[in-house]
Amino acid sequence: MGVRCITLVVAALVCGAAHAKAQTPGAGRFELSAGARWVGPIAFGTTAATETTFGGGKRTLFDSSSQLDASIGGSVGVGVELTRGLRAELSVAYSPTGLSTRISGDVEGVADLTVKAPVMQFLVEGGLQARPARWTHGRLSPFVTAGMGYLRQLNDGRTLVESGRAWYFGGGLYHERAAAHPRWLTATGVRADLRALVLRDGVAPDDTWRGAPAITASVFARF
Amino acid sequence: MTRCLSATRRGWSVLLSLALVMTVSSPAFAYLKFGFQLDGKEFTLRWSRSPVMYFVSDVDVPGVSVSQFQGAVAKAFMTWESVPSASIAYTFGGFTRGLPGENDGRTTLGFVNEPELDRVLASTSYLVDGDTGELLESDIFFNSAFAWSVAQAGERGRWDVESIALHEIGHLSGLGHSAIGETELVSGGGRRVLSIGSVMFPIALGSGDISERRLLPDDIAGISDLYPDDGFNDTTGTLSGRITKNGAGVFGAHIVAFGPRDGELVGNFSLGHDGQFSIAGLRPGPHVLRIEPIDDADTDSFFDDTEPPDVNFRTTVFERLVIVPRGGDSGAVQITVQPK
Repeated sequence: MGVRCITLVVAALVCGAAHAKAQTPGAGRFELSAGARWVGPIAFGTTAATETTFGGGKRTLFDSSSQLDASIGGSVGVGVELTRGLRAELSVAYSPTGLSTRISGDVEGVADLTVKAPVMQFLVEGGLQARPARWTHGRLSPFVTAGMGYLRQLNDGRTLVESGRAWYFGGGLYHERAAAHPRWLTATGVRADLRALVLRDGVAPDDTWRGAPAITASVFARF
Repeated sequence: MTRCLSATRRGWSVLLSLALVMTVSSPAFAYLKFGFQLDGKEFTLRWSRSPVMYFVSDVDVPGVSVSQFQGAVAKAFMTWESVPSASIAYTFGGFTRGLPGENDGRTTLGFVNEPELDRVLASTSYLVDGDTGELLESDIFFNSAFAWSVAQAGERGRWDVESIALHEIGHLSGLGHSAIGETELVSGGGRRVLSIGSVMFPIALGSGDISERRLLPDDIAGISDLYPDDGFNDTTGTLSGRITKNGAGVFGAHIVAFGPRDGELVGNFSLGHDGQFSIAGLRPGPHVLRIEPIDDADTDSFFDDTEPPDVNFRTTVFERLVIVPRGGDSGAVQITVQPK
């Protein structure tokens, strides 16, 4: 049901964009957006399975390296213009991903393999977006953005729920058109952004901050 | 899980003379609780009262005085008692002229000369109430046919009292042998330990070594499962499942759960002929499961000769990461192994 609603919203926004007239970009106090987000893999490092040897040394049974896999999911957001060129944004992103552990170098000759467990990831983000008018060229308007977020990761079968924190910063580009009915809809278009996502806790093995790239492509409408 | 041992009822009490020996050459793996049957009823071997009072035999051996011996075993008792997630405690009752193995109602530790037991460093025995199943006494004998030491840094050619006591006190508390460890056969018979992943591995690393004075995650999971402290069952989880081969359950497969987050190894065996297993006391989070036959150890260190484990399958790493929840069970994991 949720997926169907998002699809209808996206279709309506795209149709609106097709009938839009060229007007001055940037108008509109509120912005709604929906789209897809790719998040790169996050490496958690290596851990060896070791046993104690005579004298207190260590003998490795096998090595392991773990990561949170790259993911593609959906994102919806809302923005409110605070001042000309400065907008507050709130977004929710969902991405099904997986926790992977590579086992290698087994002393008893077990072939190297990767074992996985699915993870559902939710990220609620809030931040600021700056889009100075002087950066705008025709229908293109670049922006920079930064903010923080709350991470929620649910393991396979929701048997274990982990929470974490996030920071992000990055930038992107709007391609927009003024709307055909400017009384309530002022602009529509597409938006792409590339951000550095820095996450902590969640399913990670420790409380180290770890970074990953994230690319979001979405359609938007301003009111 | 409880490994059941049949015991012969003798009057009002039963002496369980188990093969809980610390040998100088043989293998080891994860933790195992002991159990026994009385009148068809199953009991887990554990102390119902805490602290457990113990006595020390008034017997010196060359290089180790009685007071030095008592000091070393007291440290070993304290190491088990200090496990934060376990509730068991011990207290020293005093010195005694009694010897371990005498059914006097006193839990006694001490030296006994048993030169014919040329591969047994120490051994633990139990006295259990035949009506209630209550553990009444557990004695540990240290074989004075070997050379012993209580030196802080160990002593070459002498066995470390504290290390061996730590292993035997695990038995005294109700833990069986763990199979987390690796050995190799040596010429002339016996095995040499390459490494251990649990103090409860049945074979000691070697004389002069003191690295077994410290408990490992497998030991901590075992004692905490037997005597859970407040919150232990809520903050840890269980991983359970079934091992099959050619569609039938595998008895005696050794399953080790590896936590990629912290590198911890905790294990157990499939203890029914349906191949079911359960490993308790795991930290919540993902675990890698490695299933292996007991093929580098004497299986009678873990199982009765009358019920040998299946060792005819290949070591296998389960194809999925298994998530252990906080305060719950992973849900039954179905693992298939292939014949050798």
